[in-house]
Amino acid sequence: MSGRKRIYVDEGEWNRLRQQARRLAELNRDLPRLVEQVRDQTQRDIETSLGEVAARHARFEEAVGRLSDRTREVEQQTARRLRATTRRLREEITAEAERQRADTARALRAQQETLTSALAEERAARERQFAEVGRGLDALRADQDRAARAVRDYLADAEVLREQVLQFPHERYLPGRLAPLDARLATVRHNVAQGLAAHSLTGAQEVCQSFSELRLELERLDQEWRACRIAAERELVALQGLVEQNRTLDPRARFEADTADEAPGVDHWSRGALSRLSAEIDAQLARVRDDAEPLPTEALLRVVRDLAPEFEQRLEAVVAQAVTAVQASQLRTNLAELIADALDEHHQYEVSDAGYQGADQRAAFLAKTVHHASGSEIVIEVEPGPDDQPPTVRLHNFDTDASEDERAARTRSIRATVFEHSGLSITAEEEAEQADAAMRDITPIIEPRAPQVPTRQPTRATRSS
Amino acid sequence: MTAHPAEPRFPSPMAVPHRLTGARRPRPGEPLWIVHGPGVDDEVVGEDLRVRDVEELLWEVLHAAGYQRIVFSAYRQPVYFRDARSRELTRSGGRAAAPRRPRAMRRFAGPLGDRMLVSAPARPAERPAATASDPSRLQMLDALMAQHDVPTAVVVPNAETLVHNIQPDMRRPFAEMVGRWTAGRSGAGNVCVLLFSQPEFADVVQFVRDQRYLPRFADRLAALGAQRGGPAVGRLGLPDEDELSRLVHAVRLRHRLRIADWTALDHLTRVMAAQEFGVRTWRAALRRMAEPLSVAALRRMELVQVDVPDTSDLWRRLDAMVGMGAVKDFLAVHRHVLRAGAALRERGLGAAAEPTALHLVFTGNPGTGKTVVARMVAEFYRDLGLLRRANVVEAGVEDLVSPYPGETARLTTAAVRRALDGVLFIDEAYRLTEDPSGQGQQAVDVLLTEMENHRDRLAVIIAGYPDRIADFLAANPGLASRFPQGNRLVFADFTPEELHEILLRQLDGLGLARTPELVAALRTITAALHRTRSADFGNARTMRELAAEIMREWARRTRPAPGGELAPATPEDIPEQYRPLLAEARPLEVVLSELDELVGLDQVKNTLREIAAVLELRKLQGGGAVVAPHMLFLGSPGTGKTTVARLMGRAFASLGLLYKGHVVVATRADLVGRYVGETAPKTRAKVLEALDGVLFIDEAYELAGRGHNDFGPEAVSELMTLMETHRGRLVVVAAGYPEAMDRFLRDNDGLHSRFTEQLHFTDYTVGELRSIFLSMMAARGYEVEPTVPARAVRWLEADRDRMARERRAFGNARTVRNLVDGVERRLATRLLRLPEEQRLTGSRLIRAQDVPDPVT
Repeated sequence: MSGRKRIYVDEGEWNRLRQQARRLAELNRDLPRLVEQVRDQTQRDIETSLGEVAARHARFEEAVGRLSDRTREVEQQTARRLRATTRRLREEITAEAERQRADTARALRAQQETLTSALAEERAARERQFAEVGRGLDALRADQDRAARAVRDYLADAEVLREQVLQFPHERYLPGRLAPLDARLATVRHNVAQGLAAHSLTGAQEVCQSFSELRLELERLDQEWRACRIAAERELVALQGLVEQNRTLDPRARFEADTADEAPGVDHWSRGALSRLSAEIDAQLARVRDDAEPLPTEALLRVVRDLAPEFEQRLEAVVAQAVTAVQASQLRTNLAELIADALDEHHQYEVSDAGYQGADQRAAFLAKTVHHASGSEIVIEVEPGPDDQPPTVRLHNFDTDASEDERAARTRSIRATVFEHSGLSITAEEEAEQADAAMRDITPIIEPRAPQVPTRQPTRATRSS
Repeated sequence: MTAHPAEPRFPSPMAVPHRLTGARRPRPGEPLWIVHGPGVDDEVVGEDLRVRDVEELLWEVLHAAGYQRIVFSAYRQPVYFRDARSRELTRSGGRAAAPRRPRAMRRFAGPLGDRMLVSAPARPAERPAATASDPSRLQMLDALMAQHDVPTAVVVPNAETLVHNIQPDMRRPFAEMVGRWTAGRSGAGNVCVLLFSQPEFADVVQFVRDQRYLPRFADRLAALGAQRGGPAVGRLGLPDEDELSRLVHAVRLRHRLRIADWTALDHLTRVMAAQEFGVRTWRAALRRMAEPLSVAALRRMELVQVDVPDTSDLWRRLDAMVGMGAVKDFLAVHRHVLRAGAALRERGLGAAAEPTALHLVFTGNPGTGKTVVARMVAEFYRDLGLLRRANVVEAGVEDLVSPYPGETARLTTAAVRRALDGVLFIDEAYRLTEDPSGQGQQAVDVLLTEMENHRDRLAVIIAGYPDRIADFLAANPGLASRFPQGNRLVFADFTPEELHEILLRQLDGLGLARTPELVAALRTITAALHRTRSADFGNARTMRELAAEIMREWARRTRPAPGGELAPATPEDIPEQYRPLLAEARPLEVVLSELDELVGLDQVKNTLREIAAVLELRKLQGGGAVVAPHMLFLGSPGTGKTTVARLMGRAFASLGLLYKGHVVVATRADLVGRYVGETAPKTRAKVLEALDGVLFIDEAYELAGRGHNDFGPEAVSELMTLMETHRGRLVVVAAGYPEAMDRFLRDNDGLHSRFTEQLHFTDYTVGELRSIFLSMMAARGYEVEPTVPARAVRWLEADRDRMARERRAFGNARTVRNLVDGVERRLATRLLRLPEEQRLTGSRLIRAQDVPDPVT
């Protein structure tokens, strides 16, 4: 007597089905919508950021007006060239929204190089100008008064340029660079105050030039940082969009299933993994956007380069987990169906009740079949296998008068039917002599339970016909 | 409560082919419907040109008969359905099972709804094993049959598999279940349809009986088979021409089969029907047929094993046959008789009369076309719609009778079954009752029963020699009544002209050109063959053999090479054994003149001349066949009987009464055996040796019985039979002492009447003995001294007297020969005593002392 039969599903064919499911697990990716979303959500930040840069330029140009003639000419040209660089940067950032992440990282590197080389050129051009100015100064040295006047002009210019430097979060970009310059400026001032103005011409000019260079350096780093932050923000926003796009699985597209029911939710089928991932992305985005404690350029770059791809991989895994779970659940009903087919067609057992354990589609599927002529009952139980393993199938036989031959014949027809319609090979072995009486009435088992995890999925038992 | 199928809707649905005979649907009130026959595993083609398997056919019949639930139960699949409604009615509350849809579940739903993610593998599934145990199967069948609310039919295909393989402990419940059904304890109107593949219902009954555990069921089946009114047993045979024609059209329409010749379609389906394959086989063959369909194409596919001549010109072919005027007339009349009967029955007239019997008797010698005509009769019956197929099964006694007990019935039944729907042709049917084992009578009895059982499906033609057939029928009145006088047809021997024509046609058929000389020579030969023919003359068969032999001789002589000149056949190509027929016999006068050279025998000579004259006269008159007479030669030994017999043989040959005229001398030892069964063959062998000549039986009275264990009378009886059989081809001369012969013939009356001529050979006179002595001496080249003849006569007289005293027969010429031999020996002894130089001169002269003294 075998009251309970355990049926093993051959792993080979099962694995083939699972591989099929993995192929179905690709991320849903609606790129145009994603681009739109990213643009919507980051455009204001870009505007703000670039507005800040523009305002700073305006202030700088206004400050240039207060410079001495000598310095003004050099700084005016720099200001003009900077404006052109900024404009190019802005264009590039706008275009970037449509780029892929890999391209973004590459573009950022290209931007940095462009900026660096533009500023290097700038610096070379100014050094030439400063050298020319310096040659003019040699003639001044003989003239004490004119020399002292020039020194005072330089000091005033240095003061103006220092103000411009202070416009930047210079301690974040180039920590400790301002203090030595301030010290040198104080030294030059002190010498001038000591009446050594005519002799301080070289030092004044150098201090002024150093402030100018520091400002230029800061300008470059600031532009870099802004570009990186925008890129990082964009990546995370795009990931948020991707998470949203993959919150449910379209049964028609993925499984060619024609069901009127609500699409399966990825979070439900991944048992909350999607929510956890989404929260992490949100937190990261908040950090990127945090102006009070802005992330350094390197950290932003890491977001773009490493963190975002990692998040996306995790998202893929979560979706795959959900797809395979849905498929496995469906396969459990399929298997139960084929077994019920065999019992119905060859042995006249009809299904009287069926459903998922606790009305949870992620759990075991149970179906009760009844032989009306004899009153015998067989409960089919299809339990999810651990990990990706085939499900565990059990037949609980409540057939008092059936012979072992009859049961063997039933197993044969089940095996034949399942194989004929699915290609799945199964084997059966006795698991217990007596059927578990608790399994006879499946109604309490398949009743919905108070959900421990909030489920988004409605559960259905037998099809309503 | 649903209405029961009391009034079935009829006629039968389009699906039912004609080959379903007997009960074509369940009989109302009868819980069993048996369908058996080779067709139950086949497919059928309905009037609607649809090909169905038998289960579908039965479904339609049962459905049309009003059964709402039709359940099938096979060995491998205990319960299955061919329609959704029947299935629903079997489910609880008649709830419908959702129909199976591709890639969808019917019962359950998962996260993806009813989507079936698995699909059938491309590789074919293994054949499913039996899916239910017998208890479950029986429980189900019994439950279905017992239900009253739905008119139910349970169909069991391959019932023999189920009945045979049911597990031992379930046999009793099974028997009880069937008992309950047949006792009417099933749901009213429910029927169980059992399919058996046995061709004959009797075999089905036997099969069930052989299972041992179903005796009541076997009885029930036997009773069903015996019920004449309202049959409950249907037979599904093999497809007939109509159905095969529908199959051809079905395949043509669905699979674009091409037809080579539309006008030949009738013949084609006829050929197909004759092969006795099922629709399944034909359909597979037609579907894979690459070329247009024709008989030749089927032959190339090795599907034609039985040849069927094109019957479109049956009458033309009959007309084209040489001779057989009586046969042609008979068939023409027979056709009208059969048609008339059918026409009358159609109008409801003569319904009480037995329809004209199809069975025929053909009498005639071998080679007179009986088998050929039997085949034509089969076609002719088929064309008249009296038989479904035109097959002819030729059965000899060996095919019907076995020396082993019980085998004969089986053999005969099997032969009849093979011939069903066609003709059973039994050649030399009388040999059945001549069978020494006595089993033949059983074959006749079985044959009679089968003829009765299959009166619409079988025509029996018996054939053989006319007189023996007549005896056979006379001895079997039951059989005779099946072959009314009007159905007995005599096949006459062909005339010499017909034989000649047949022979020439045979040569034409072989493609052999011939010279006019050959034609003329063959005319002589056929005339001679006809003249010398015996009862077993092969007629057309002999002509066919002769033609083949001429062809052989011609080929050996001319050695034709491919592409070379083909010389015509000439008289040179006539085979050796036929040449004597060409040789002109020596004229009678020459033969008779030899008679004159014999010494004495005046009475014999006169009688012989008279006989010859009478025979020649009769020949001249041309009134009927002239046959050389059997003769008695009565006389003592040495009176010239053998010599005369030889002369007489030649004389009869000259008269054209015997074709060889040779003499075979036989004595008792040549004819009578020492063991049982040895005698007749010995006698037959001698007679065959003497055929077309003279069988000279010396001292024939020795054949008379010598007590209980003597086979002499058997030889006499066999001899008489053979004399009759080979009448005209054999002259038997019985020779012996007059008194002994007289006693012998008195005891054998039949023999006496057959010897119409007697020749008395009297003893030689002294003068004749003297002449004989002298002529013998002369013949050996001796001269005699003048005193020698007188001494010899004295010796011979003394011997004769001594013999008479001792009541022994005097040897006549034989004694003279002995004397001559003795004289010769004495001469030799005398010469040896002479000096050598005198020996030669005296060696040819017989002196008086050479003749021995008389013995007293």
